[in-house]
Amino acid sequence: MKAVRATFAIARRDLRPSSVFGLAARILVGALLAAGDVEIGWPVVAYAYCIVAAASAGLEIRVRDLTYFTAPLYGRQLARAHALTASCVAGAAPVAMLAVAMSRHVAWSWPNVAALFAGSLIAALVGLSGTLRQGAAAATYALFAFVAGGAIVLLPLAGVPPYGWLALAALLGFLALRAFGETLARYDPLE
Amino acid sequence: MNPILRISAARFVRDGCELVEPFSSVLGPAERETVTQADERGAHIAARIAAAIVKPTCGSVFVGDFDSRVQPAQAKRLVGFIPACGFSGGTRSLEREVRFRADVWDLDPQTLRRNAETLLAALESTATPSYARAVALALAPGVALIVLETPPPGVADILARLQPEAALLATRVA
Repeated sequence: MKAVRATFAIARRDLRPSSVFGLAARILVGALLAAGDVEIGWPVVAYAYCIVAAASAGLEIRVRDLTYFTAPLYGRQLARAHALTASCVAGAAPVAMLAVAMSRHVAWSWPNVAALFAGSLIAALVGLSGTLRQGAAAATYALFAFVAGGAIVLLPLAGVPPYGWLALAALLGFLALRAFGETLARYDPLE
Repeated sequence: MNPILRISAARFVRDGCELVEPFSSVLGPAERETVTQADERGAHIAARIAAAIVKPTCGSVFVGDFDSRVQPAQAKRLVGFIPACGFSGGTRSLEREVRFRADVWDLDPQTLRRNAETLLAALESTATPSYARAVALALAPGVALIVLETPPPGVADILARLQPEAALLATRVA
């Protein structure tokens, strides 16, 4: 119960006004993309947008705030709290897209919808580790987040059965969260 | 009586450069000490080592009975750390910050708010608003060890009077 209280407190603190604006922008663009009438290639644009938005959701959280490091929490507890915020922001665009598509009675393949949602979460979780790095290392994590999220979205399109890409998504998500927790535990806030 | 803080030959090295010269300290309740470092960065990192926020490259740090490497969460619960830059919460109201800390530290928000307001009132004329807020928020939970990162003159004396039972460690530049 104590851990849950702390997790939600940190997640609320992470959602600063800029994060709320970011969330609103993702919902808006997601809804606009789903409402568009572009026939050729629009799924590619929509999927790519969701993954980029999700990766940036992970990368933009201000995890280096000194207050978090003075709190009586372990790295893994902090990681879970930041991951909760990143996942909520990352899920905004695909959920908005799905809501608009359903309201317009546009047929979407459910495996593709689930893969888009899972890919967005993976991109956000991988992106989180980039927040504790700078320069080329941070850029590498951003790229890795995009590739990992994109791979999950593309697998069902390539004919991989759901249990295959779901298992891969679960494994990637677990590893990304664990790596982020360990990085947070080792991180020394010097500035 | 068991010491609140035991630092043994702690130093910090980054990329082959010694940022914190080795320092040691043993503080019991109501005791005070100032640690001197060659430059400001070293003084800041030394304070963070004492507060269990930064892990020393060599040496050991125990806050109460807790090793800062192995049990950082338990060690941090005993520490009130006040950064040199003051409050880092931007434009967040004191009310929101108190609620946040009550949730994370698992404390009663009413008691925490009362303590913070008492400390703020006591510091009103001696510190900038940002610094006073940092002090009030850090010490409101009722800590056993106060760590001050290069504090303004006079602040350590005031805090020693406000929380006489707490051990106090401050860092400064030589």
